[in-house]
Amino acid sequence: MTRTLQKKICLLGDFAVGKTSLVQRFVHHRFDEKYLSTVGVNISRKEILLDEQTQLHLLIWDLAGGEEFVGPQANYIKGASGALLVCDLTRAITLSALKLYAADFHAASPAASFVILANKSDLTAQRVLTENQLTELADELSAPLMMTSAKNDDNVERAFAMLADTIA
Amino acid sequence: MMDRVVVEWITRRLAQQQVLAYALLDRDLKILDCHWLVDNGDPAQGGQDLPLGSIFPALIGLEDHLRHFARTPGGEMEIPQIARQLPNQKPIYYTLRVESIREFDAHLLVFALDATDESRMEQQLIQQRNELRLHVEARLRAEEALKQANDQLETRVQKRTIELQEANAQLRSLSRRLVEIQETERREIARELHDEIGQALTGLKLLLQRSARLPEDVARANVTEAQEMVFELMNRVRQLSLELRPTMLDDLGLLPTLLWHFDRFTAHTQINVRFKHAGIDRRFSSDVEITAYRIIQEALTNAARYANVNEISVRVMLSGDILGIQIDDRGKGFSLETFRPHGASVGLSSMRERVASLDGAISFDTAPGEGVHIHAQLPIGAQS
Repeated sequence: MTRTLQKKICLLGDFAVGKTSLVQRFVHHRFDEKYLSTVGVNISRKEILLDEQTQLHLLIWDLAGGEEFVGPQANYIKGASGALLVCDLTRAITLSALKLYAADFHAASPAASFVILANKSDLTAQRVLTENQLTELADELSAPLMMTSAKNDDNVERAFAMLADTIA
Repeated sequence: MMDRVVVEWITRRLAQQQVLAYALLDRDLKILDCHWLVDNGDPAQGGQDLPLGSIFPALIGLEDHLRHFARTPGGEMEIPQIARQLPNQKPIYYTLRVESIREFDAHLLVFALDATDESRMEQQLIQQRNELRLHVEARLRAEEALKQANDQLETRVQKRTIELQEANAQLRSLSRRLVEIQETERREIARELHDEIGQALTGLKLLLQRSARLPEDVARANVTEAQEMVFELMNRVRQLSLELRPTMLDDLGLLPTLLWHFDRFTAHTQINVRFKHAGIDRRFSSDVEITAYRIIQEALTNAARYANVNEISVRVMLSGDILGIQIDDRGKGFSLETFRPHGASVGLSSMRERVASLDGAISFDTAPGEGVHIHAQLPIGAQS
């Protein structure tokens, strides 16, 4: 008999780090070079077979970047079981911002889990974030870390699966 | 389906608002009534049998919060700007509001308000703002890179300026010392001419004057003495000439001149020169020959003055277009950083300058107790 779970997860991070691209790659297997900023929230669904007995219905909340989660926006992250914290390997400022998103998220959902995604790993020549900087934050947040590229489809499936395993 | 009274209440309650959908829930979140616009925009009614999440997916995960609201009169919550992607259309946006009510059997009123126009405008503004931010970030990164490049350039310029100042100082020092050497040489030549040759000529003159007044047999003996003095004078002049520049270097070339010099050096200093050579039994350009000769001469002179050795090794090898010179002694050596004997320092500078003028290279490897090892490479094609 198959057990079905339904979980809400959020993608958090500064604007233009590639949150929407990660969701598009994961849910629709496509990538668009054009940057289109998100306003509010896009909600997507995806089913994941965790094992032979467990089906997970993921509700993926892709939130606008560069916003503080105060006032009505705080309700975006209520009830979420986990979050993908996304930074851009080519922009140092996006890593330090993750601490603020993590704090907001933790306040709304204290038991939730994080996975840190260092996105745009395909842009090796423009990379500015070092392995040390990333692992330092991962250690501070006690969260696993993965390098991803929505463009090249590197580790995208694995990143969502890792969070799904954690929250299931 | 709720009765007409409920529909009228709802209509009054939500008047003036662009409602896309609404639902009345009981305290257990069971849908009592529902009215919404389906994806093609047509209104539909009912929904009692559907789970709340299928109508309002944004409420999934918030069930505990909603149940709490249902028991808390006056409570309300809002989830703004939820995008809903319709097939082949731009997304529409709605804001989901949940209010705690006590009407009929309902405890919660959930409704979706159209926020499409304002959200699309906001999206355009956010798009422009974010693109501007990205542009500013890129510009700051470029400025930072430019600043770093400038700093590096500035550092290099400062370093080169210091090197140039040091080179100029060395050049000035070398010029001063070359003038000193020149004056010293002139002084020694003058002394040699005055003390040795001048005295001998004076003696010869007096001898000849005296002979003119003497009887012929006595005068003949003085002439013999005068001839010996002239012979000695000729030797002194030849010696002086050789010390200034060995003419055999111009006449016979490097190898015979070196062999001649080593013989004289050993005779004067009792220091043996172990000489190995290859490919130099030929003529080189005048610049190369005099430079090679002076380097070896200077190295031997320094070794005789400071090294305290019995033997010096000299190797001169032609390899391709490079004339390699290696001079080694196992003497006292010295520290290039801390100890520079005046004469030796001038000698080293002079060697450097001579080699540099031929675009060659020279290195000095020495330390206290480790002897002195000089290695020079002269391009034989170079002409100064």
